[in-house]
Amino acid sequence: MENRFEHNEPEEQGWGAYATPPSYSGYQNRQQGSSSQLDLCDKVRQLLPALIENDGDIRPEMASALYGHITICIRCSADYEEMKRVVAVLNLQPQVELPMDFSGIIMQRITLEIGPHKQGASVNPTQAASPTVSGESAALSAVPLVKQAEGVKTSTVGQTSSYSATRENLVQQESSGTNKMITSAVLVGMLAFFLTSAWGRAMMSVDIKSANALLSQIGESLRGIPILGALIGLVLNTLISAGNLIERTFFDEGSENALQMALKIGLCVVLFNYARKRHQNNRAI
Amino acid sequence: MEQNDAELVRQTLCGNTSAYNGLVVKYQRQVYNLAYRMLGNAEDAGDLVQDTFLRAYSALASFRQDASFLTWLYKITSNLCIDNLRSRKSRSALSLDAEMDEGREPAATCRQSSPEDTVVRDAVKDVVHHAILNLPEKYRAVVVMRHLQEMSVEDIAVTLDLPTGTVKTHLFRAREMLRERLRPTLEMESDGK
Repeated sequence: MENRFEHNEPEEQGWGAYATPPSYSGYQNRQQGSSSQLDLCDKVRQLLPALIENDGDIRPEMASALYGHITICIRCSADYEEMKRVVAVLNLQPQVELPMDFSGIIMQRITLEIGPHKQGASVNPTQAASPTVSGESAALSAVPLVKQAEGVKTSTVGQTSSYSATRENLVQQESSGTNKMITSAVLVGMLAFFLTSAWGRAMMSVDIKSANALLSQIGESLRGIPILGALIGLVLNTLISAGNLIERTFFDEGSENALQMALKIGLCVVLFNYARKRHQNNRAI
Repeated sequence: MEQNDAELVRQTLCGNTSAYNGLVVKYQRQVYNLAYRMLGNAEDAGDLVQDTFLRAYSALASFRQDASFLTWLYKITSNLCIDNLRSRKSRSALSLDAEMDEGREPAATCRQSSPEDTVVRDAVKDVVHHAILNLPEKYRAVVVMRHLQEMSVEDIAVTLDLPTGTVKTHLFRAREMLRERLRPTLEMESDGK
């Protein structure tokens, strides 16, 4: 272990230097002898935290010399006692008790949000090349994020009755999540039907043409309004252009191109979300 | 790592989720106390401990089994605490009342009403609790781990990714700050004895 105190000057003066009481009256006179005693006190005070820590940084001979100095120096003794009292009050700070069934909440979240580890995913106990924990953080960041379901996070402080309410919330959120998945699947199915069926394409064509006509009419009617009318017209023209582009892609270039475009957009969204979650994970662990 | 922990980790990785419960029950109190002393807010500490155990569970396969599981948990906890304190700072920079609006209280102003705070009912202990919360983050973490979690300097160094010398420097500076701040309280206490 690094010994920060190994090369301190007092040691060079010999252990006996610590046993000489300082002359504080000499402080005002700035006499050479008393000045060196005060320097000695400063050095002693710098070593006091390590002396209190008592973890081997202060060698026994040095410790004896320091204790010898403390017994004869009122100021250093007062500092030493005060430092010890600080350590004592810190050590006396009580442990805060957890509410009942706190682990139950954690396990419930694990069950709902992550589920069991897959069989065979266990690591070989001998695989570790280094016991340092710091090396693990990099591996941690590569692990998929725990799903941060909104509102699932529960306060653990409170009475036991709040936990049953929490469990109900969790169950409700689980069923809500299932409903959302079903709804998403239905919507995706409907979209696929519109994209692939002749009826769907015909309907979309009518809709897009109708929408473009409607937007054009609105734009015409607002053209009379100064500035605002021009701005709204600009926005509407952009929308009409987008509608025309979709229609062209769909009907002139075929549904295959449209499907490719949709897949590219979908891929971009997935990659963006992955990058975002990876970033969140790296920040947290 | 204790053999028991290694076995529980192995069972968890084999799909036995209830084995993880053993690890949660064993270490939840220590992790909670670290979070509570770092954040000074029982509600945030509770949420943070949940996140810690969930993240540890997700990343369990990457855990090196010859390391200490508790130290690993402490590392995740301290990182999450630092994130929490930073986001709290940025929130308070936007609005000093943000936390109050959310029904929470800032770390440095502890309440008297929460059940956890009733534990810290002694006046001196309460003052010490506040003094710890007012330390800079890096000093607070070291003091809490050394004196409240009774971790060795070496374990703290591993947890915080710091050299042991730096940990000691932080510890001694933190205790010096606390000595200055607690001097009136300590004098009152010694007068009362």
